[in-house]
Amino acid sequence: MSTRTFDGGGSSLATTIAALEAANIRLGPEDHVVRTSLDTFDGRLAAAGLRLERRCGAADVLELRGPDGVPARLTLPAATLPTTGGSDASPVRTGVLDPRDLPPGPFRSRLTTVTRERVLVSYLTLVTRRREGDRPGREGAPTVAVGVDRWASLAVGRYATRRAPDPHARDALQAWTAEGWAIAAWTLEGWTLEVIELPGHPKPAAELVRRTTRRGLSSHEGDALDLALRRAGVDAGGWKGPARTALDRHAPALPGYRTVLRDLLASLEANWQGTIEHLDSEFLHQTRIAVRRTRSVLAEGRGVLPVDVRRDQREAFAWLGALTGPARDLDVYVEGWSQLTSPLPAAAARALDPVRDHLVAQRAAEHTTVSAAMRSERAAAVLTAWRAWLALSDDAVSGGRRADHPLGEVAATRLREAQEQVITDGRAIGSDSPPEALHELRKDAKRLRYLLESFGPLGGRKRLRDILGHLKLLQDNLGEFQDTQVQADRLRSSAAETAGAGRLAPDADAAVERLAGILEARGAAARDDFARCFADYSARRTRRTVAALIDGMSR
Amino acid sequence: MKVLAVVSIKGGVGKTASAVNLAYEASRTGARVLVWDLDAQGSATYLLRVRQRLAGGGAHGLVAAGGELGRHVRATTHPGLHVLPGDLSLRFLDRELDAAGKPRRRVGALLRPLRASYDLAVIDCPPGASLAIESVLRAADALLVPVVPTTLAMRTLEQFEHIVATRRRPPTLLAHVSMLDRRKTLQRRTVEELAARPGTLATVVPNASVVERMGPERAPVAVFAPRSVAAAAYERLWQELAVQLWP
Ligand SMILES: Nc1ncnc2c1ncn2[C@@H]1O[C@H](COP(=O)(O)OP(=O)(O)OP(=O)(O)O)[C@@H](O)[C@H]1O
Ligand SMILES: [Mg+2]
Repeated sequence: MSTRTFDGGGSSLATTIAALEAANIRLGPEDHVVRTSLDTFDGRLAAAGLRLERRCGAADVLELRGPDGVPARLTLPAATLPTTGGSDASPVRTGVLDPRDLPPGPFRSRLTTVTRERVLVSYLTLVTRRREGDRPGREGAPTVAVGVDRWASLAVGRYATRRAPDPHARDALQAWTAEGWAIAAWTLEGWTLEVIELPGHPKPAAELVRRTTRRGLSSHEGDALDLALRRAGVDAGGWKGPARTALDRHAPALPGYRTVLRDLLASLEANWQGTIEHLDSEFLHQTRIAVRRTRSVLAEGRGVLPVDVRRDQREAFAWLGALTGPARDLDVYVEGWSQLTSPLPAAAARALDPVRDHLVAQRAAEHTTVSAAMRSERAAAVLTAWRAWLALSDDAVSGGRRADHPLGEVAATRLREAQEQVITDGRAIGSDSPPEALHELRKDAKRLRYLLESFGPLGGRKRLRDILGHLKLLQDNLGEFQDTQVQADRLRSSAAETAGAGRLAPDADAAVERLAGILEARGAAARDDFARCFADYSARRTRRTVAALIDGMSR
Repeated sequence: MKVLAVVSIKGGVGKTASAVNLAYEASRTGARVLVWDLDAQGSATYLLRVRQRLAGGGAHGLVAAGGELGRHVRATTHPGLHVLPGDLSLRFLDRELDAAGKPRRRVGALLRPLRASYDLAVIDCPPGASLAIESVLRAADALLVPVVPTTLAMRTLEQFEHIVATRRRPPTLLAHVSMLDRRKTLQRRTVEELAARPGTLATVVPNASVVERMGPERAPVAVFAPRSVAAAAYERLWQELAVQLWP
């Protein structure tokens, strides 16, 4: 079942209404409606073939459509539909909706299985005067439905990803960010006609489309919101993750490094505001990925990047990394809590609720710290300086001794070092080595991982994928070993803090120890599995692939 | 997709009224709902303002090998609520099922291609027990039996308990009090007896003239009498059911 939308443009709406009425379509009264297109920042609904609209008029409804077009509608009284986020001072809120706050049932679960930890943000809002109508069949049920929207204004959501920034949107951009709501807004004239096919009646819809086309109107697949998204240059697929501009291994190293850093800056900027507003935990996670990878490229920029830039930025990004670490750890902890406590009997898990509440409070406090720091002048200065340096033309920047060496060669040298370090340190680990040796190897592996992610594509994507698969096995093992210990320690210390505040029942001690025991057992299992995971990574076959990748980069 | 079958050995107990009103509540609260009218009277179809006619060969075309339910589905006035109409040819449904082979699996098999498109199928069954009902029982996640609290009411429920008990994977058997007349002492007593039984939903649908008005209005009660006691009862009844279906 499809929907087609005719663009009225400058043609007469009255003529179209008359034509609809002549075709036995009953139109309802005109209603003032606000139509908002919602998805996660990274477009998870779109990727799953779903489309969600909030339509606020006489009623407040959420409408969800899948690829087969059968609509699901959730009607809610305005007060129960949660809208959070945005600065409280702002008269218009950001229109954020956490699907986990919706009433339980299939509508919510269809959303949350796709959105998982993410919230829904507004991509675009279209304000119209809308009339709905249909052509009743002989018993009264409709055989085709229509929607006539007289467009009044359109606003692009602050978290929408735009294909090509519209030059006209610039002024609007400033005007609206002050409101904390949209980055672009237009006042519009014009109207659209949606023709909605209904099950069992393909003909009436096709007939109406044919007649309207004959009157000289052009139509698009999808509804008026789809058309508005296209018009406003909004990418309905959302943010696609960090960009990867193709690199040239023969080109000089410095511009290549700057390209990688520019991609990372774009990713950082895309996630910056959502992190400040703590809309969902994925924003901070992506911010941290961009920060860590930036730090890695800066560290590996010895001899390539200008000494002062490298020094200053390493310091700045180290600050950002340290600043955001605790909040991320707590996000992981809090969001993984029910999974973590799932091995416990229900009563024991409940006894730990005060510990979870304590962690939730700590997490909120950490996020407040992060938001404040990211809103600070220092953060603004860091971003401005970094943006400015990356915006300089390549001729205007001079680098270190190796700045003019071919990028592939420089990156290959670094990769070779990192790979050797992993192999040497890993081989030195026996069954009686102290935990620190494994933690050290985890750092080596991270360094290698970031180098591979930044420069690996120069040596062939297929090989890279293969290597990253093996490296991930090793990293997951090392992570499990260290993180379970950290979690067990944290659990004990949080429990002690909660108990100190007199909020923990005596029987919680046993639950804490039991859970810590489970975590430590998982850590021990990971330790036992280390030899196998390292053998997999250091196997001749994997090493050969790494060597081939490095060769491919420098050839 | 969850399959809810509204059944009863007795006729005229409010099966169709419950099927239509509950389907409407489900669709209003975000489910994609298909009402399958399996009754030759086609009352659910009529109440939803859809023509009581199965396209292409009636019951035969519906269940015969190669039959496809999707092409019979019709939109209703309510978004997210579709109907698979019933017509007179359904009086031969048992014969057609038998002819189609594997009759007891047929209803489930027919619904399979629609599972991804709907969250809920509400099957409005004719009264009695038949091969078709057997087939519905097999496909259903839950059975809902409206019980009018009269002397023999408990018996009709026990009959279904009996039928369901023989199944390997029995559907959840649920009941609700239908058409309660509070002025009658005997009815009140039967309600207490019913309430003590596991599977009886707490919400009671009273005997109310608005429910009868569904006929002339051709719409769920909540559409033309949203503030009525009966509309509130169906809303609550649906909330109770939803928890059973999606725990
Ligand atoms: N709660 C109620 N209060 C008053 N009248 C009701 C109520 N529920 C149903 N009725 C009326 O009782 C009659 C039978 O109801 P309904 O058709 O829903 O029962 P049914 O079990 O589906 O019947 P059948 O066995 O014939 O399919 C209808 O006229 C209906 O309007
Ligand atoms: Mg009936």
